[in-house]
Amino acid sequence: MRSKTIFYIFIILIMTMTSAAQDEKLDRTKPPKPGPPKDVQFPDYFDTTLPNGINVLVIENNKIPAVSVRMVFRDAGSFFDGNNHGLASLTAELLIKGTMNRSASQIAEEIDFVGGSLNTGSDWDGSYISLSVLKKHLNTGIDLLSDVVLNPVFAEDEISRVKEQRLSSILQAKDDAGHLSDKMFNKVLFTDIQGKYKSPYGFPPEGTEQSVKDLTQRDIIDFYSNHYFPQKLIIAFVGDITKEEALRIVEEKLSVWKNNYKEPLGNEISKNPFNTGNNSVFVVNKPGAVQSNIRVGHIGISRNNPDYIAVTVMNTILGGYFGSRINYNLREKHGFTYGARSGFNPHINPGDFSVDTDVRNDVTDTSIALIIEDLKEMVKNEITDEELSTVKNYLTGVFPLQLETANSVASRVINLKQYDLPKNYYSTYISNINKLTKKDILDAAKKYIHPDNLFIVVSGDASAVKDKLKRFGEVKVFDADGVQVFPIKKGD
Amino acid sequence: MFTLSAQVKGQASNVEFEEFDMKNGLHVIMHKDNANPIVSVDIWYHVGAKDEDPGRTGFAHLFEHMMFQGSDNIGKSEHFNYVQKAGGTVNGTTSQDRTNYFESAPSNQLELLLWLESDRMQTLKVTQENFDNQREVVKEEKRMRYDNAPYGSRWGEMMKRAFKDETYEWIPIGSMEDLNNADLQYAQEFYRKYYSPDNAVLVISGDIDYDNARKLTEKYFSEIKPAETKKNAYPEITFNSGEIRDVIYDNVQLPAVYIGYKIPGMTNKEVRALEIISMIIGDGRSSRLYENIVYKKKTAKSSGSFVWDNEVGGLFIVYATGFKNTDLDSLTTDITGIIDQLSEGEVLEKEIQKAKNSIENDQVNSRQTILGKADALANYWTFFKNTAMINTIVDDYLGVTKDDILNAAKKYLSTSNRVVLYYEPKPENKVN
Repeated sequence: MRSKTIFYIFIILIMTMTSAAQDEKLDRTKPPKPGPPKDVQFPDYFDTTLPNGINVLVIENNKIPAVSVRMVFRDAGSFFDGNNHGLASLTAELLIKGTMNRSASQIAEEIDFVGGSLNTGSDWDGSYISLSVLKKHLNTGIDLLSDVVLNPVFAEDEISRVKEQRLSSILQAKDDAGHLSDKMFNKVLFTDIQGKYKSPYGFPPEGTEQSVKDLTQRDIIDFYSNHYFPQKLIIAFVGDITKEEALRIVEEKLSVWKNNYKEPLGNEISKNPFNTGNNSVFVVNKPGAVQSNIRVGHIGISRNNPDYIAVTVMNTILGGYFGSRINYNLREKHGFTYGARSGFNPHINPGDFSVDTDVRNDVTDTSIALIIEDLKEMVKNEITDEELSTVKNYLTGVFPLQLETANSVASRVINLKQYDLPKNYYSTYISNINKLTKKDILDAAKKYIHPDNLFIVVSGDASAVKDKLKRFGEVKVFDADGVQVFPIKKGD
Repeated sequence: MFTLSAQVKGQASNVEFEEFDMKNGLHVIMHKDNANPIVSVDIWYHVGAKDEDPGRTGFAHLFEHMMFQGSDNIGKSEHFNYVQKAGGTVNGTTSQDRTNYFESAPSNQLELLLWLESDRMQTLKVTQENFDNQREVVKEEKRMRYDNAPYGSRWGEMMKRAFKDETYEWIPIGSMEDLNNADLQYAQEFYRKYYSPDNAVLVISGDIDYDNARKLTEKYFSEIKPAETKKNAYPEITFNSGEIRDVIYDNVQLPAVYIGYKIPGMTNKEVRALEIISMIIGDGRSSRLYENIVYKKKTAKSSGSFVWDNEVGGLFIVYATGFKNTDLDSLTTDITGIIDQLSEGEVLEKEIQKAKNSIENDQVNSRQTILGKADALANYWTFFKNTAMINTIVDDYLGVTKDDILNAAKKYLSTSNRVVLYYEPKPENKVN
């Protein structure tokens, strides 16, 4: 009897629940409203400069028991290669190829044994060393890191091995359409095709076949002693580490470092360069290619340009995210490409602005024409209210996603220091985006996008694409080495 | 016993989660991490390239693109628009075994993400025009990533030889011919068959409240009907059926060799041992391959090895890129020698420990993001039906012994169980 009652009640309960669910039939036609937004704060960090000039940053985060240490040498970038293209990059690579205390193999074995990584690299604006280890292996990592920074030996046999590998990489890069385009694009943007000026950005940071062959041990040792200074070092400790621990490490390992800073001999670069493209076309011939890799653009802005945020918002609408005009147009509307994007590539000095995409051969010219139309529209009319609110929501919404890991926070803190950005750059980032108006976006477009002075670079099968490209301007064809190829006339 | 397990315990932090099954078969996993005000929604459908019918290669991946082309209440491109307007990011990927869709956004947008995912699980609506558009997009993806990329055909060429007439004969991008023949009607069949709650796992990871997340999931997913699909049978993988060697001439400057040894599916414990072997052989500048052929002999410019583990079978891959004048025969002989030496018993405890340390480091770092954790949870549920493996996997690796390593090497890393592919420059494409 008793059990029957229980059973009965159970049935009623179920029925009630079911009918309640039916009463509130789910309305799927409208998107649900968001909950109240949560406050986004840029995480706190510690920032100090020691007596010998080292800038120490600590971005503490105990989510996982791991620490990374990132060093930035501000005056040791490829910008200072001079005529020795590839020098900064090879010097950085060789730091971990032997010290006064350890051979290259010993360094590799020690870091690999603790499951960590110790890597070096360089770009236009600096050279970098980064260590990543579990917290329990931090001491091993720090011993290695300080050794490679302070005591590299740049042995001849290591140099020759790295040079051989680099020469092969340069050869191999000729297979890659995107790389060929980058190289040609930088060359025509930043060197003196019109006799105007010459910037280091016009040369390949990895070096050329000739420049790498010519590099000597002397060049590398000199670059190290003339460009690696405590006064120009930013060191960031990231993750499961306190500022006390970090300062003790720096005190113990790097306070002895007293290399005196000398102003580097820079390359001459005009303060406001603007090499004009006149929509001329440069084709890098890649016989047999089934796609054209395209760059359309010109010189852009420097990282500390005060209009940087307005330019970022403008560029996001233009080609900076999936929903951008250019990607929608070329991909979702026409199906010409897997993806198309535009971007400003800012350095300490103005870098490039370009639209990049890969399209099948027979729509190469049509795609370029569509890109130019999008650029023209961007500088002609204001964006819509819808576009402005979408991009603001997008950029402010993804900001906390970009702050998820200690390393991504550290990258931003390092940026502040490396590019001398205002201290409150990130704490005011969201409000600065939200302040922008449609007019601000149009102003930024007019100021920084120049649809009538583009350089157009296509790396692809010249025989399949070059004739149709004449509609944009003069067409010049080059081989993978960047040497201009002239058509062979009959009878020659 | 206690001491022993304490000794081998990894340092990876515990990932707490709750999971439940809905009546329609949808498996739901929730992981709470309130460190940042963000949330990820990650759905894995247990369908991939290996489920494709003959003549339909590439379809699972082409279909992934369709899932962004609209459903009853969400138009073409609107899925992206809604997520981006909410301040989120969105994407999808297709592998041999599964297709996943994921969004990350500020955590106050969780309900929107569930609305979007549930609508396209229930009422996908693709027009012929949108189907044709995405077919072209995918063909461009194939050209960019495979046909026009140096060595881009290597994995397709490898799979079609290693798994001839078996599961995994092709890679997810498929063939141009099959993409051209793909039709909308088949897409609808494919959708009905595989895109159902009983073939999926939904992971919600990040700044959530368990009760609320569960309530919202019920609200949006409970009315979706299961498909109760019977999947295609997967032909068995055979081992040691003889070495296959081939030469491919490509638009490349440098010769390269890719070697693939057939291995069992990922749930087989031997795969853990094989992963440790791949690290000893080819991971990092102190690995045997690098030490020997890159550093000492200087016959290779770069080298490496990794385990490509799939659900029912995979490959242990070893590769090296030569210099311009490298002779691939002698390079391959050297690589084979390095592997044979290991199989014959030469493994140092120190090397094993090094590999284990490296795995531990990778596992700890992969727990940094809510999406990384969501993928790991979905993976252990989908293929192992054991979500808790996220917290025991490191110990599984740490428990691998020297005997396990030697047994796995002897069993799978023999010449008769591999494909060797040489990539040589086409004579007419040499730049200099």
